[in-house]
Amino acid sequence: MNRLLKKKTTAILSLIVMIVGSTGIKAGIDLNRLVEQTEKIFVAEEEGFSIQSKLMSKMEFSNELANKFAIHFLDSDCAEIQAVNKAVVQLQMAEGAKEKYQASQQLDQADFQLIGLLEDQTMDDEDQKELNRFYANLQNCNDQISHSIYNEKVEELLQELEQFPAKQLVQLFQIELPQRYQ
Amino acid sequence: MTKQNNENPLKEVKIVRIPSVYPFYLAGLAWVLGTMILPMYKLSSFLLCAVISAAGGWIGTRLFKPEEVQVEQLKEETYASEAVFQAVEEGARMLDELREVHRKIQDVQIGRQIEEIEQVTAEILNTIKKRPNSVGSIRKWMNYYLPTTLKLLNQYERLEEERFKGRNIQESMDKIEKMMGLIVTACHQQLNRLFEGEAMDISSEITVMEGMLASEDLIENEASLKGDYRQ
Repeated sequence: MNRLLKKKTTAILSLIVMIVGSTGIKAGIDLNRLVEQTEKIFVAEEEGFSIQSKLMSKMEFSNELANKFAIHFLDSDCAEIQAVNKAVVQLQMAEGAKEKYQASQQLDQADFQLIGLLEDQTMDDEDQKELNRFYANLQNCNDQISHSIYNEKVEELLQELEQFPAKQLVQLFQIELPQRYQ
Repeated sequence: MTKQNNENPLKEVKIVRIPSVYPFYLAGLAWVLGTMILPMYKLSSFLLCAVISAAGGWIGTRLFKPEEVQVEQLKEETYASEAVFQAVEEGARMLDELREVHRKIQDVQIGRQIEEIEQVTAEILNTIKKRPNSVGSIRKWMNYYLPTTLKLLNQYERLEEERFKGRNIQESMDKIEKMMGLIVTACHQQLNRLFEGEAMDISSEITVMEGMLASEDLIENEASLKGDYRQ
């Protein structure tokens, strides 16, 4: 064993193995950690809100709007209520920032169509206020999402990973990069 | 650094400094250490790791000094042709084998004869180096006689090791012992032959010069001169 270790070929091979092995392992760990940290922002931002939490709020408001408020004025089988329910399910099922963004857009569309339809219904002042509150809450959610730093962080990360040798390492380890929420 | 090899006159012992391999391991470990503290997706980290690794290797060369090894090799000199180099190289190898078998054989007489063969063979090879044109004349000696001698000596050594020497063994050993005397004579003859051409040239020169001196009356009696030379 000692004789084998004293061979120049063994020493050079060991050096190559140590360089390639440690670089590969550490690069994989570092890149995954970097991606993970960015993806975490989607779920929990430092300021206390995140895109994910706002999407949850949006789903709650939409659910309440369609299944608790709208059914007093519209038939529960009506297309607009069904569209909202379907969009909520789609958003729940969506995976990844991009897919969630598209599902959220569809939910917005369904929500505002339903609100538009409800505005045409005759309702007392209390109900009108309640409808306005739904509208304001949904808008507020979208507003907060638009101020999230998630996209900014994703952009920073993608720019960093476009450089050498990060780009090649990402390709080599087939690391899945975070998607922009847009 | 070289010194004369006491064993083989055609070879010399060279002291070669072999660098230690441990700096390679240290350089590798330094790289591993570097990867542990640096983000390994940045070019700057790779450069820094290379610097750390090189520093590790450099420290390794300071800590582990090169090992000095004695290497036996043909004397460094210029050979007249590839054929001469090959003959000397092959001869040196066979001299090593002769010395090896010499060490093993216990018979004193055979030992002396091997020693003589070794000396004359070394002389033949040294002569070849000085007279490269004669390389062809030792080809048979190198390719057949010397290898066969070695084969016989190896067989002799094996027979010598036998505890119970029957008639066949004893007869074979006797034959080899007798053959060794002939080989020694042939070996001297082979060396002598290398000077045959030169001896003839000298003889011719002398004959011509004698004739010229006599014809110009520079010597009194050609016959007496011849007598002086050929006493």
